Order: sequence, then C-alpha cells, then structure tokens
Amino acid sequence: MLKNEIEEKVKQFPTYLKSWVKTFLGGLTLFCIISLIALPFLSQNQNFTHVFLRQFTLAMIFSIFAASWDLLTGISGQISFGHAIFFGIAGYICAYLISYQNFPPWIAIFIGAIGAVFFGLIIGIPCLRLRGPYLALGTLAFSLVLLKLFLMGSLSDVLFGSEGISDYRIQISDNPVVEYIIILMFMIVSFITIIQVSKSKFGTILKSIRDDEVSADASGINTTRFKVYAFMLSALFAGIAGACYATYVGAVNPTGNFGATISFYAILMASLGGLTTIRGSALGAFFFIFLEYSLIVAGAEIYVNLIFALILIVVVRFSEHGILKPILERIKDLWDLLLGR
Amino acid sequence: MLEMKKIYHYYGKARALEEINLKIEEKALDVVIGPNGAGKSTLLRVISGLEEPDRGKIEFLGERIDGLKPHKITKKGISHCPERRRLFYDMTVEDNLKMGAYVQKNRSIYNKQLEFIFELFPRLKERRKQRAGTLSGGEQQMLAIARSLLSNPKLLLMDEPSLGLAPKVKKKIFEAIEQIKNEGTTTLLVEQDAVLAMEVGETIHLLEEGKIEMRGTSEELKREPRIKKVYLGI
Repeated sequence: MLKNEIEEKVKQFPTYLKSWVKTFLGGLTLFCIISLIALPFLSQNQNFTHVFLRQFTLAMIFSIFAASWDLLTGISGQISFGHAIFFGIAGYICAYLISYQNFPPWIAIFIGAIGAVFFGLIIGIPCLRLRGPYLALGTLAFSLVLLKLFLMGSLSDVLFGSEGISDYRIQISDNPVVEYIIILMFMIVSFITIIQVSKSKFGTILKSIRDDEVSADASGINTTRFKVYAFMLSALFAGIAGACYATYVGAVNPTGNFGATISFYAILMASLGGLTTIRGSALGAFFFIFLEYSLIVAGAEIYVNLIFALILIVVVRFSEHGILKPILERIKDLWDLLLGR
Repeated sequence: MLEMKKIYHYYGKARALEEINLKIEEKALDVVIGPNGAGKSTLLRVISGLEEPDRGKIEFLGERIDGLKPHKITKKGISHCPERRRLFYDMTVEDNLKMGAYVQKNRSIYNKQLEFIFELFPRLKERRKQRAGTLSGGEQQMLAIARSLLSNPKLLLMDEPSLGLAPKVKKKIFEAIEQIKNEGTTTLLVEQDAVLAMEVGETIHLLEEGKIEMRGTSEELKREPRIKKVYLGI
C-alpha cells in the first residue's frame, strides 16, 4: 500500500511542481534558487569570487543552521540556547576525520552530521524533563560545558585544546565557485527536507506538542519519543551546517565552533526572519552576514552585534513574526499592482 | 466498564481524592457534580493517567490501567477532553482533528466518525481551514469535544464542557453530549452546572472535598433537600 502511495506521489510530482511554481510563494522560491545558482557565473573577477561569493557561502551555511534551530524551537517548541553543541561537534568530527584519518571531505561531512545526531540523542533524553525556559538553560549549560572541555589545556592531547585543528586539507575545495555550488546543494536539500517535514504528519505532531503538550499526550501521542526525534532531526541539519562551516573555514577551534555566540546567531537569525517560517531563517542569515560584511568594509565590525541586536529589538517590537511575512506581503502587493489586478 | 477502587490522591500534603469508589457501566452517561476544588478534575486526570493515583486500583475492561502513561491509556480507548479546552491553538481545525485521531489507524472508522462529528457540529465543517485560536469560545469547545471523539473512544471523559459559555451555547453543547451518548459512547462528565447536568445524566455522583458524598439517579437526587438547596437553588 505504501509502495502504491509513493508511486502515485512520484507520478503526480510534475503536475504538482507546475502548480507549485504558479503560486506566488513557489515562483518566488524558484526565482531565488535560480538566481543563487546563476550567481557564481556572473563574473570571473577575483575580488568577486574570493570575497563576495564567500560571503554568500557563509550566509548559506548559517541559513541551514538557523533553519535547524527553527525546526526545533519554532515547529516543535523546544527552546534550545545551546545549538552550538551540534554545530561544533559535527565540525570537530569532520575536521578530525579529514586531517588525521585522511577521509574525503564529502564523507567526513556526513559522518560529522551523524555524530551530531548522536549528540542530539544524548542531550535530548536528559533535557526532556525540562520545559520552556528551563530547557533553554539546560541546553545552554550543556554547550558551555562542552566549550570548557574543548578549551581545557590538560585535555589538549585528546580534544586539541584551545588551538583546535587547523589544516589546509580541511577545505572542501580551493575554488570558491565549487565550494559555493556544493554548499548551495546542501542548503537546497536541507531546506526542502525541513519544509516538507514541517508540512507532513510528523510536523503536525511536533506542532501539537508545541501548542499543548498535555493535550497531545491525551490524544495518544508519545510526546517524549517525538521530542527526541525532533532533537535528533534538528541536530542532523545543525551538524551539516557545522561540518560545512569547518570545511569553509578550513579549521576548527573551541570558541569559533562551540561558543555561546554561535548558538545565539541561530536564534537571532531565525527570529529576525520569523519563527516557524523556516524560509525566514535564510532571510535572517543573509541579512546578518551581509550586515557584518558591509560593516567590515566600513571598518566598524566591532559594532556588528550591537547594531544587529538593535535591529532585532525594533523588528520584534513591531512585527512579532519577523520580517519575512511583512516583506512577502509587500512584494505580493507590488506583484499584483504590476499585473494590474 | 471502568472501576475505581479506593483511590487516594494527594497534591503534596493536600488531599485531593479520598477513597473514591466508582463504577461506570457500558453505554452509561455518568455525571460528577460538586463545588470548586472538590477534586472533580483530579478525578478525570487520575483516570486518564495525567496524574498517578497515590493509592488504589483502576480497572478498565478488566485491565489495570493505573500507573500507565497517558498515551498508553488513550490507546486502550479512554479519551480525555480536558478542562479549558486546551486546543492546539496555532494549528488549523483540520489538523486539530487529525491529531485527535492519532491513535485511530483505521481509515474507514475515521471517515465515519468525521462524518458524525460534522453532522453534530456543522460549524466545524465550515471552519476546517481556520486556525483554532480564532474560533469563538463555543466553537472551541465543540472542536475540543470533536477532537476527543475522533479517537473513537470506548470511554469519553469530559471536563466542564460548559465552562465560560453563554447559556444558549451551553444548551447546544449538552444536546451534542446527549447525541454522543445515544450513539453508544460511554461518557463520564464533570460539571459545575448542576441543573443542566441533572437533565442529561443518568447516574449522578456528588463529589465534595475529595469524597463521593451522594450517588443516585437524577430523580433521587432532586428529592434530596440538601441538593435542592445548595446546587439547584430551589
């Protein structure tokens, strides 16, 4: 029966795709994807590929990371302030495998992500007794413990100490265009998966746990099990992002990969774009990275967090659900106006 | 069908339930009435597993169910429609109903039940795509009842379905409860509005300070002078 269902879905897919593109959101998404694919071929300028394109790559990595946070917090309602755990652990595993075990980056990224899933399981189980703000504090504490462990000099033989791992081979490719395309593929696949998951029955179950855990339990849903699943799934994508980040930088170190600021980046980006929207995370991430970039160009990079925090406060004050929805509405109005509706 | 034997439950040191003995027959509509803080909601929470009783035994269809996790009890066929509705407010009406039918894997039973519910509450059919949080109080209560019915329960526990509703809407809800009963679902109803409760209920249990003080058919209880004075106001 399941096989038939899948076959039917595959058969209907082209018509589904056609109707999806015709909708406003579908068309816009496709437009964004195509322009992202076309971007690296616009110019062969050294400055363009080595600086500008790299910013895009970074923004895409953080998009995946912010979306994974949104899946855990926005969709399933489990507030995490320690998402850097998954980000960092995957990065470390990935860097270790490439640098010490001579794994190819492709496989190392996947193994890193699976390591993050494993950590999602380990951390998910004890944390599930905690609710709301206490869960946030619990995950934050976990990430700080890991940060300190990795910083500890006496453990530097095992966990590489504060120096971390640095190796030119960790880079996924010397060519920024190839790197860009690989990360873009990761981003597209991750976003399609996360959005489809949040739309599926599994996603509805997670949303019901977010809205009212007691009712979900009374409806016969094993809430504990689904919360662990949510942790693991979110950790998978956070792990992909973390491993990609390690290959992007070409090195890992405790503060850069485990720091509390990394966790907060995910929160800031996702809430700027809009909680539960998933796509909003990408908008927030691109906004943050390019704000940072323009401030670096202007020579005022120390004010990045200050300025971004101020922007976030203003946004949250006026629009509870971030900037994605209002922006989409404006574009749609403009679109309708252009079409003369 | 359901049998509670000497159930005791405490919140810390405060006693909520004391020596509760309760027997519900198949296809019956039992009502528990009583003042605020008598332990009515606790009684239902203990049955559906949201609270674990400190002492005593609960049997459902000959099986012990006390100490089981709530989702396991739901799978055995007890559905709890909680107090203050507790809907999934950010989800659509349709998704709320789908989650109510989580344990119901049989498609045809689900469709039949859905049909019955839309017959019972035509409003819900109109508002299928709407967010549950945007419904009116009465509609939310209807949705809460519908959601707990969709698991096709053998025993339905309802906690104050009339809470905060206008008299007219209350009437509608109680008509629906009677219809559900006529369809053959065993129901245990907890209610503060004694007048309405006595109209629909077959067996009435009076719960005061955690103890069942009186029990009987509504005719019997209506004759009791104390009930008349305190609960019916005649």
